[in-house]
Amino acid sequence: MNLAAKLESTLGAECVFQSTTLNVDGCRPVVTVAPKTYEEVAEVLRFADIEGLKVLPFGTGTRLHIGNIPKKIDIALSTARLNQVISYEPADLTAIAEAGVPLVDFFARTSANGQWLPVDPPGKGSTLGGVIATNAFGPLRTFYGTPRDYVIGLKIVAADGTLIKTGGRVVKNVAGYDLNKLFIGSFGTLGVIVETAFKLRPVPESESTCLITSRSIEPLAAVANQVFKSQLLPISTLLTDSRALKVCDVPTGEAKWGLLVRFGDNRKSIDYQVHKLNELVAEPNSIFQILDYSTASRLWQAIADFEDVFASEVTLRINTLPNRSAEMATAAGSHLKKSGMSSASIVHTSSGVVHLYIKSASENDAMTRRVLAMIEQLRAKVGDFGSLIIERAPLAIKQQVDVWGQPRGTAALMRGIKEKFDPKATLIPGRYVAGI
Amino acid sequence: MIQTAKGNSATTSEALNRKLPDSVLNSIRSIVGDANVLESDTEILPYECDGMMTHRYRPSAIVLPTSSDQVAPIVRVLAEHSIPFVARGAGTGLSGGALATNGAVVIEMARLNRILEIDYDNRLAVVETGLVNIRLSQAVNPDGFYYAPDPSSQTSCTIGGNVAESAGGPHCLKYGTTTNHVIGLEVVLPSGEVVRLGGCGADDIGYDLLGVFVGGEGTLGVATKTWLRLLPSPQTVKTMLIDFMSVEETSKAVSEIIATGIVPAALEMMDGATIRAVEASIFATGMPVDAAAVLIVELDGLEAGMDETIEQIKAIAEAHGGRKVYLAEDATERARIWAGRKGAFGALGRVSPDLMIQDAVIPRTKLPEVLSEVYRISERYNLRLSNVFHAGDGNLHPNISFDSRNQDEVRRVTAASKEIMELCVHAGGSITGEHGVGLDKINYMPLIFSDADLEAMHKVRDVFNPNNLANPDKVIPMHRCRAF
Repeated sequence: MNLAAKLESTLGAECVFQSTTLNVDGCRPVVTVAPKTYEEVAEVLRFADIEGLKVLPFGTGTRLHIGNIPKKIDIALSTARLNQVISYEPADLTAIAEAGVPLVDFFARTSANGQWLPVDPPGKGSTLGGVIATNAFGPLRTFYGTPRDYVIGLKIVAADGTLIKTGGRVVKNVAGYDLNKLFIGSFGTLGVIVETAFKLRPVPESESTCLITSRSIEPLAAVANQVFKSQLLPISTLLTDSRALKVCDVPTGEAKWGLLVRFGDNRKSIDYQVHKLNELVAEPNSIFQILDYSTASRLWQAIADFEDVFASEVTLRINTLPNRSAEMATAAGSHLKKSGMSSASIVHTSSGVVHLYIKSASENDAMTRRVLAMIEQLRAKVGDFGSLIIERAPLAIKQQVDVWGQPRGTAALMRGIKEKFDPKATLIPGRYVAGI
Repeated sequence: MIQTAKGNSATTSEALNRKLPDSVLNSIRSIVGDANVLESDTEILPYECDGMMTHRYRPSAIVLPTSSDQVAPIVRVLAEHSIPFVARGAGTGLSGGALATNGAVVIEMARLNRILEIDYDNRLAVVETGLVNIRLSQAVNPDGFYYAPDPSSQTSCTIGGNVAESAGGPHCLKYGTTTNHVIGLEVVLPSGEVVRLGGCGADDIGYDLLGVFVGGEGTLGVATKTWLRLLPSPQTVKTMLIDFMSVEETSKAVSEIIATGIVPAALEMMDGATIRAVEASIFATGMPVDAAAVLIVELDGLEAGMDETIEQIKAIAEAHGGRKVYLAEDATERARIWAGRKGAFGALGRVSPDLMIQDAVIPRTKLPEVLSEVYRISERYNLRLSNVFHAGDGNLHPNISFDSRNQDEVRRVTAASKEIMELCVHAGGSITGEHGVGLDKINYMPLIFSDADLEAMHKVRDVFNPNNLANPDKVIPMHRCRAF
């Protein structure tokens, strides 16, 4: 009996798909399964673990481009059919949902009560489980942080099929180790997240977005840093080059850079903050404007999905200190310009995350070599207190460099954790950090 | 946990008089100097217990490193000889987490108390872990910044202890607990190896070992240095004191404030028994002694628009029978209200020789029914109960005043505590919101975690601490599936 037939006999034919379009860096699963219950997830994993098969857990597959080239995938296991909101108690500001619930559906459910899980990662179809497994975030990170700050509990099916519960369902809890953290951002390498519990936040009453443009980045970076150190409470602060703004249909005139600052609160507070921000813009060549609501909404959506909007071929993410982020973006930008590559950058000035989006990187070998050389230089520049992750790249690049970079002194601990939780390396071997 | 006034009435004690081999002592003395190794009974006595004074364990020695680079060599010596150790900050913990079971060596971190770097451009501070929590805020306050986690013991507890417990405080309702404010740690692993977890900029790559370490109660290694997030001080702070004639209505008001979408900086509740104890003590703030309960509601942030929120809160309070909404006029009045709240445990010390402080969390919507049941349990056992707690996040602290010389009363306190804990767990809650598991709650862990859940924790401990030398016997119970 072939693999698909075996899985069909366990899960039923409707949960098993032989023809699959899934392709992770040239690696194609033999079969895709979409179990309907936690027990079915456990059965698939137990089966794979015993048979020595390799499993790729995923939600809807919006972030499968992140990671090193997998060694092998036999079964792709989607959580998309685990799609029930289990409980939502508005007065507690908490909700429990299965991992396959799409973020947009979850948002629709909670926004009816003026509440939300305040994360806006790329990928419209992202599932809750996928967002947690990749700790994905978007422009709202400035004020709200990442999924790490909202997960209060998880249920995970471990590689051997054991169901593990971490955390709880209350908003404050220090009982035992905080194992939620271990699974957040683990990219499915330690277990399959099947259930999620979150604390929520009230949706701000109102919103305003300001755009400050300038020919040079320095005055804007200075304003961003002043805002960061001030009592103002923007929900998003992003520094972008004009190319990114143009792609998003925002006219920038002669300006080369734009600083986007978005406030969300009650009207009085927003008006006050917009006024204060305007006062901070001292440099005469900077232009301050308030975007109308529809332009702003379109822009934030386009920025969240910028990788697709720009059709990026190589996406780099640099993690650095907030006050070094603008400098990293300009260093990369001038490098790319010299190499004749089209690029755009978006800088989270308050968290120190820089995203670089590059096109035509894979045109020829010379281009690949230039990108690789740039990555090496940027990694050296980031230094000891940061990292550079290649979030998207063609195979030619992934074959020559570790997309994560090297962990500093913690590789043994990470491998130790993997060894304990997935001793047979059943879960997507080769994709993660430190060869995991 | 049971707090005894006298200490000598401890319900459990262990006087394991383990003596360290001379070779080990000499090795450690050569690292820290003779004067920084304590061995005599009188010197060791203060380290036999922590904030949970009913349990006593005699450490075999106390080592006081005076610089953070001494910690790794100390740990290496202990590891080579398989001698267990406990890192200790100020010893204010309430779950017995800093107790030296098995004749462990105490590594006292309090002298590693320097602020190494303050970097406002990146809103971070680098500090040694023996630093007392409030010192950091005091250092950055003049420049308009502060460090958010503010446990009630913040004038004495250390950052390292806060990291171990992922300590909270009244303001973690809005700002999160310690785990949300630590961006990086330098850690001495139980093998003596030094690693840095996390970065000091944005996220590090790979598994979130930093997030796992925080709240590990010292069982995963010794943190020596930490990168902490600073926040700009809020422009405006408004503190309200609202009194109610019914505990149930007070609880409902709490639920409604949260449900309305207001995020107070703090939302604290004190019941009548607590108010009366406070008002009879030096912490008296003028709270109405005939009230069934009061709420302390604090808002912070921008002044613009805050008046509307205050009006919303007033309306909610009135709808639930709030008698008076008192808005503190200035910083002095605010401080007076908080002195009453933070002095509550001290004030309760006047009521009886001993006090059992419990720590449990429930979903906020369950407050009315759970609180009523907590009172019923204490009546059934004929005990003196008071409640003072972080209502906004459902973190209860039911306190029972008793006399540990009365064995029958002690038995009733223990039985009632267990029932209260089971009640909270049954309501969907947790056995601890901020005090940690330590030794005190280790037997409650199976109430909320299965063998498989606990086994997952063991796996993590085995990776960091394979020989169980760092703070042994804490947090995770040894359980059945460890038998094979």
